[in-house]
Amino acid sequence: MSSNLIRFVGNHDIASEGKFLFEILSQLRNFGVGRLVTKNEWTRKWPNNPSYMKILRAEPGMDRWLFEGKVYAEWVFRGKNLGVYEFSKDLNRSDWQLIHKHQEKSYTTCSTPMEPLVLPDSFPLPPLQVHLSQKSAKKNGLDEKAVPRRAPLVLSVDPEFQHLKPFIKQQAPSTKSTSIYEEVDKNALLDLYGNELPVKVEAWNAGPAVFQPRFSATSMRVEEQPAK
Amino acid sequence: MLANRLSLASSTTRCVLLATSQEATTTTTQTRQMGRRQPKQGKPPILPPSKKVLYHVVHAPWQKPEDVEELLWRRHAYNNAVISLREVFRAEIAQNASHGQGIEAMKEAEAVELDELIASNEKRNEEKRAARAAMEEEAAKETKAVILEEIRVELEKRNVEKKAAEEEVRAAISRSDGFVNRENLETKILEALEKPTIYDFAIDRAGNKYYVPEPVKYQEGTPTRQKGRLYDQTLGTQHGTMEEAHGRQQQQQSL
Repeated sequence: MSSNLIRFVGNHDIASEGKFLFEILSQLRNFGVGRLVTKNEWTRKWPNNPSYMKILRAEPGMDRWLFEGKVYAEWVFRGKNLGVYEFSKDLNRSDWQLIHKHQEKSYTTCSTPMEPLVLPDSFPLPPLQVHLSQKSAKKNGLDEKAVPRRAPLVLSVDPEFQHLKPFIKQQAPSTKSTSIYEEVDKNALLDLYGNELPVKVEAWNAGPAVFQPRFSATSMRVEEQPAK
Repeated sequence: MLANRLSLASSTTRCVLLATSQEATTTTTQTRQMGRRQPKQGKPPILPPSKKVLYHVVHAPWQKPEDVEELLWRRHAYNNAVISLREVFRAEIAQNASHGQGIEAMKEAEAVELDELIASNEKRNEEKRAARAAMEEEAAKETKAVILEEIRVELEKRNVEKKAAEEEVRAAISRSDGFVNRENLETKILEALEKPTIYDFAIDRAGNKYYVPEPVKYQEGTPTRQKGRLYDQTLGTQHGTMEEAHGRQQQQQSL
């Protein structure tokens, strides 16, 4: 194999139908500041809620394939303006599309923006936990009946959905049950993924891998963890 | 023709020499390498990975869409519940602490329990120490008695042996009256010469002893024609049984 022959190895990005972001921006005046670009993934997932971003500043990494760099843009996601975001990852996907100037007005008008994601504000405790609480209450001479069977639901939002945090609302569940799976709205959660579900669910599908030390092995083993 | 054959022969010889020299070199190198460690099998680390490894692309199988859907929404619900349960457990620990069953109270209780355990252990050790001292004293007494008994037995045995030896020596002294010594040496020799004890007899299966006549001090008459054994009865000259010899002895004594 000669040295100047490029051989591409790997899976083709089947879920992409567009251009690289900097491939578009580098053809525009002033790196496309003020222009609108969109990702076809968003259009495929939520065709009724237009998502796009208005370029405010572009810092290309000037690498060989125009993969790297930073873009600061005002992000409108599913009809909701999220504010200014920095885009520096996943720019090497040929999935971006320029919105032409004559389409801008029609594209940005949105009659049905994203509905807020409603989740329950409490959840039923597991039966064993309730049983143990009652047991300890009895042992300590407390009222068994006063042992709570529900607890407030604290949300765990994946890193890939952090930008949607302002649109997640908690309400008292309409139907109460003994299992949290019967109380949450399945469709509301699946709306996070739109019309295109991932092809498989693995441990590494749940956002980027991070190391979060929960305990210091020596000092905090017996002490209570500080509230975050 | 002859020259040609000679040159052919010489070239053959050279070839043979060359071959032998080559063989010798290869043998020596082979011997040297056999003494060293065998190289590891496989790829040297400086080389890039093989093409099969380098261009291998993983094609993970896709899951069914209904499975993906179920796993996704259930994963969200589960994560929320687990994070919330952690808060529940925190509250529980704080409540226990307020009831005097917190970590500090558990630590104090454990410290007290540890002290109690150490004290009881000390007590038990003391008891065991006393018991061990008594036991050792008893054992020392027993050992001493056993050793004394052994010494007594040994002394008795030695006394018996000593007496037996003395007895033996006395018996030997008493038996030594008829012994030959420097004083009676001449007399004994003369006695022995005069009255020899004859052990030169033959014996048959029935226990009969066949004596020969006594040897003579001085040769008288015609000597026998015997050359080897002097008194061979098989020669037919002087036959006799034990009884005959006995009778002859008695006759001589009576004479």
